[in-house]
Amino acid sequence: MARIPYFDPANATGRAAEAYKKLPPLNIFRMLGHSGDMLDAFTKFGNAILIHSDLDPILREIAIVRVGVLKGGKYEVHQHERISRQIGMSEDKIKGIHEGPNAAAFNELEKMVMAFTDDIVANTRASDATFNPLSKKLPPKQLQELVITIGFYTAVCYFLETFDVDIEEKGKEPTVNLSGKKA
Amino acid sequence: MARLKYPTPDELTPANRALLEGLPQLNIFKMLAGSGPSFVPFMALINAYLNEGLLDAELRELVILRVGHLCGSAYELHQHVRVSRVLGLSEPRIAATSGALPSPHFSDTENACLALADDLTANVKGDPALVEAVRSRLGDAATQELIIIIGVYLLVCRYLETLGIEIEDTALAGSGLEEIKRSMKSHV
Repeated sequence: MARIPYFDPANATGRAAEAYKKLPPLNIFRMLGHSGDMLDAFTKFGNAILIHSDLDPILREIAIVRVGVLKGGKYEVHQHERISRQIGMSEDKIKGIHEGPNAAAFNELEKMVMAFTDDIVANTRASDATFNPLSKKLPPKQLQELVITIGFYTAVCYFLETFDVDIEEKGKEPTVNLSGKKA
Repeated sequence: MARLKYPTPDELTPANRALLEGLPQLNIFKMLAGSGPSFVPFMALINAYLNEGLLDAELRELVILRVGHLCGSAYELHQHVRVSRVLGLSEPRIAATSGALPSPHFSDTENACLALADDLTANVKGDPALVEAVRSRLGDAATQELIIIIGVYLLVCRYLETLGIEIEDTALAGSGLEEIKRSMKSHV
């Protein structure tokens, strides 16, 4: 049960009201409505990461779900495993995210992304051991996107967990189209 | 030394180049401009709480400094100590952000907010008593804003430290907040 009542989007005004017109009816967005215009700024930033990044969506989702696993973000793990399946990630890989960077289901690059995510979440600054190999594989822009994704989805966990945002009932979940580059 | 090359102006998209030109000349923005479509909404989010937020500005800066200490980010601390001084925070209050809580230099509300920052950073899920201590003083809207700010500065510290962003040789004269506000006007 959420710790405070959800905001009723019908009561939103200004930029928040505009934002609600485009957002799927997920509990995270209903909860965020208390923050007023911050809803708009926070979700637009999240949207840029999810929809407009160059980073391979599979790598992006591995990092997001891993952050959720490391931080105990049940809602985040639930939603992003759903998105992972939607974009075609195998069940073995999804399982691997719960196991660790050396899970057999991952290719070399995916292992690097897992290790890099673990390192940043634990130490803030990624060590040379996880940064250097990845910086040879990903162009600078994608590396930036990955760091921002890892950070942003930790911020999302703080919010979700602290307000105890409920996972939507099965069968009542809206379809979210976040499959990759802009439509 | 930064771990990635700072992008040159000709490597930036026109929108990012235009935004960067109006912002305070800081290495973090110079690097972030190379992050593509995230740059404008990231700056819009920063502007939303820095210039249009509900939280008291001193309280906000104390929380940002606390996160900087928790994450060990010299760059984040350098910039926000400067902002704090421009806003008029006293040196003992700035220094107390690295010390034990509750601090006699902080109000009850400030102590409650910093304790929540510590708790989120350590445990993700805020302890009910600590959340309630903040909510009863700030209300739901500002409490949400506070939790978002704590999360965003964790992101900022990870970004700064992982990319090795260097402190500039010449410090900005002012807070830089006005420049951020002005440059976001044409982007919202």
